[in-house]
Amino acid sequence: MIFNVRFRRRALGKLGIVGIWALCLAFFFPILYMVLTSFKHETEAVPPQLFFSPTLENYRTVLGSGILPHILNSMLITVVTMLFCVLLGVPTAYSIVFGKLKKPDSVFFWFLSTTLLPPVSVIIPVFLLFKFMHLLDNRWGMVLIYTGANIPIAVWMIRSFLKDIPRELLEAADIDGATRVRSFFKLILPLARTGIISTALLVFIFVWNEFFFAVNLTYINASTIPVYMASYMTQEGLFWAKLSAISTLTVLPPLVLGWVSHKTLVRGLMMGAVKG
Amino acid sequence: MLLDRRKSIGEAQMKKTLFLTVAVLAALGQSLFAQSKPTLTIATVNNPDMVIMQQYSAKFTEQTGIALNFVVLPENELRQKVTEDVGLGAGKYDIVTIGTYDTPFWAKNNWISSLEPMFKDMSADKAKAYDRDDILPPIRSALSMNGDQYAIPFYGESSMLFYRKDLFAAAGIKMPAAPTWDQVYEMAKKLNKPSAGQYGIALRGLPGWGQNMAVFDTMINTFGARWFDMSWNPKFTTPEMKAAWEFYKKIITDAGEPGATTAGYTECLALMSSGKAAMWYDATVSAGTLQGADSKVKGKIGYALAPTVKKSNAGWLWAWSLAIEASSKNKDAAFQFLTWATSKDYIKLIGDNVGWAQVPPGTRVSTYENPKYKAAADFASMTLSAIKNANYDKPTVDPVPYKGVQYVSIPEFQGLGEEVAQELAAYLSGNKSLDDALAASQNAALRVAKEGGYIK
Amino acid sequence: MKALERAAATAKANALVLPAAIIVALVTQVPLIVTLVLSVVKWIVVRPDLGINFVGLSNYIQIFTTPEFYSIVLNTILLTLVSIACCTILGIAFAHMLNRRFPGVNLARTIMIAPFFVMDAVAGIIWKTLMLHPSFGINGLIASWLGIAPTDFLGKHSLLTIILLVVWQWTPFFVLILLAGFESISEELIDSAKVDGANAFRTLFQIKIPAIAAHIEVAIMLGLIFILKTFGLIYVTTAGGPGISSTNLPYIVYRTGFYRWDVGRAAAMAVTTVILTLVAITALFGFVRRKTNEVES
Repeated sequence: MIFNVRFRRRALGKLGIVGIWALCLAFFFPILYMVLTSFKHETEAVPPQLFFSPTLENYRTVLGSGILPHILNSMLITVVTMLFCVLLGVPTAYSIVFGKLKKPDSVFFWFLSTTLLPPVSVIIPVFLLFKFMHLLDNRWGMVLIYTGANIPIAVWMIRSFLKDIPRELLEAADIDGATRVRSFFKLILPLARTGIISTALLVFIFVWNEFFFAVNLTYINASTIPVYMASYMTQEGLFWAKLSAISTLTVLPPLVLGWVSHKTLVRGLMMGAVKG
Repeated sequence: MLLDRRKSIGEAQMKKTLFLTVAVLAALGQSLFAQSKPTLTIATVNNPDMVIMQQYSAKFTEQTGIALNFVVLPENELRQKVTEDVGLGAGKYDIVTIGTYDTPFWAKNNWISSLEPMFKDMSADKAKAYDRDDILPPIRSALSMNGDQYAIPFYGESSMLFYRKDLFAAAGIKMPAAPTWDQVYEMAKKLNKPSAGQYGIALRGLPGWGQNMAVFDTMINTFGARWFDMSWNPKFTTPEMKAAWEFYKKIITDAGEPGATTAGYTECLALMSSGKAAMWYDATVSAGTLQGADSKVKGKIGYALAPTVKKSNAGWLWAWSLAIEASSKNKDAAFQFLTWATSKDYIKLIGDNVGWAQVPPGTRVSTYENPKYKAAADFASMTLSAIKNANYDKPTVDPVPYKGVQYVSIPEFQGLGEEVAQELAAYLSGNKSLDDALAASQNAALRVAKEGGYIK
Repeated sequence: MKALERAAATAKANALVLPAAIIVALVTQVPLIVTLVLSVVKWIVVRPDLGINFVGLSNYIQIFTTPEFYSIVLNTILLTLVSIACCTILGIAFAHMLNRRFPGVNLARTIMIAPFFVMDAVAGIIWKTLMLHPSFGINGLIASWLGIAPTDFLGKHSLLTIILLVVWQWTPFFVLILLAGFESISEELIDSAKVDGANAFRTLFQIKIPAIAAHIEVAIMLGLIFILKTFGLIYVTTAGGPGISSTNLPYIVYRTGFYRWDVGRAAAMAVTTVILTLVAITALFGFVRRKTNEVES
């Protein structure tokens, strides 16, 4: 009898794993198809074909015409924005959660309300402002606007991770005579580390893929990858294979970062950092 | 020892002075050098001909030392960016690529500079080599205001009917040189075999004033309808307008591609070039792609004039053109580039290096007289007659207060055309009745006429 | 002395908010003020001959007296609420499935989250042409296998299709947050439930989901804010159409500002959007906060 139960459980387990994988793959399919399309000839790209002769010509085309400045701009702007968002978001979230603000929820809500405006609505005022401040087509201008747009998200996420930290631990540290600064660096930061990393990743993705501000506020010098991609998003000619190629390349950095930081997240959580 | 030290100090000071002098001279020389060799910022569309222009612009820099920075975007984004640039006063482009639609009101708004003074300043030799009169007259006049030219065409096009000679021969149908829409309907129905993946005709249904509206507007004209009458009253409820809308839906439903409202230019091109459509009514420039090296239908395409009903010469007129922003600080250098990219030499450069079927079409008479071009491009004569005969100034049967074949040449058309295009798409996809769609279009047009001060 | 020290510490702690607040204010509040100013003028960029004129509230009156505006508001509400609901359900389902050790779990999690990394404009084009197109996409292929005419997703069911795309793109975000929540549930809680004789179903609904109530709240609120602003997907797939069937508030602002170049009217629409979303967020914030407190207690 025991034998049967164990066998049944294992079989269900295997079926379950296959099921989970099938679902994940189904969800992922459009991206898989996109990657496949990037290796097809343009004329074979569209009516779906299972068998095709793979080619690298799309990659050669999209990597050819001056993509390097765009990549450099994207990396610079995204990484700097990500750092600023974390460096400014952590103190803010700390102040909201552990500080003595009179109305922490209102402050928090104010930050949140600034994200309600869609970029589309505000592009012309921003364009005029940037023109006035001579920040058009300027990398630091882009960093400024992306930081301002993403700090609220960073604050929200870091705040929820800080809230997860049990008060008893902090009080214990206070009793032990630790200063606020010390308990921040030695106690709070390590516990919230995984949260901060995932926040940084989120900001990275938002800035890396941001299209609308990038197209409208840059010309030559500060032009990022999404602007380069724009010229492949529709054309007076077949473009789907080329678009798939540039898109596959663009998706790689966030994907790699996600893969890498995901392990950190799992490791951190497995060490029982946050207890329910 | 002291003497040695003083000597070495003296030497050091001399070296410093020398270094400083060289540095200053270099800086001066650099700035002088820079002054005569500016960098131009060009905004252009990501069409194949422009992409080639970008690739070959290195030759221009070689010849003149003027460097070029390209901003390449699709048509919608490009138009928005350049309009922002001039309309909101940023003025960061030297050269902009605009169409026959934009040029008249850009000129009126003083957003671009008249090219007449620069043409006058051309030396006699240069002017002769450039041969300004070689530019096709209908396009040149579409780009001029009060006789002054404001933009130079980079490539021009009209619209025509493409058909599969092989499919027609197999079905025993002959395509007349100047077909009517009724004839086209009959032919499309005969060749419509959706179960075999073959559609009778591919027609744009994707909503957009430059997408479905461009094709459909030529139908509006030839059916005898019009957008506004001479007093700017909108005319969407006339029987002719209704007939045009009904016909467009009928031909697409009975013999066209499925999901028409997602079929824009590129989708129709894909259908035609992968052999899924027997006919396609669209821009003349498509001929180059259909006859391209990796086209599945190379050599099988025949050409006919834009189908008509009540009005002949229904084909549209369009030219992507280069103009100089009024706020540019490098107008002379910009003009040099304009005349380089539109010169006979440039056409020869592309013809020799890329292929004669890929040279920018529809700009110069000399291109169409060139035997090499005629040999490589079997669509040349049909394209030329379509462009020459396009009625840009009088597009409709009844008189109208506007110009333009596939658009109404008012600045508000970007918005109005977009709204009506959406109404057309709603009607085509069965989401709206014809009367509702026409009523909505009528309201939109009335609002534009009033707010824009056209109706007095 | 202690009081002064504490006051100083408090001031220092409060000052920590300032740098972020200043940058955010500069980047968001100043443009908002400019938008407010623009909303009371009439300025058509392509008609500089008409000038820029103060028109008071006429932009707002025009907006509220156009029947289409209300359809667009309805579209926005439908799009947002249905997407959030689907994302939450799917997010919980996938997070629950991925919250266990099995061969290749890390890879499975990464590919599950992958749709979130793709630019939304590109995702839209992929779906529009490679997946849903009746002639070129998987849609056409499957229809031919089944022997039926292919469905015109974007033409006939435009809003539903946009919802599908939004759900596809944002479920990974929900999974990310909810998975972190599930992983942080302590083992003792699960074990005590098992000892009490709860089966998998009951464990999920009565123990695990309430345990991650805070995470669900974060996911819903953040998702709400982002999905309300959906623009890129609509831009590349349906352009808000056919007609206005898939137009939401951000899209109509775009169309008014960049096709009609009616900056004043677009600004008025933008201000209206902000007010409506503020009201919606405040209401939902209160609602979700109350539910979370109920569940947590």
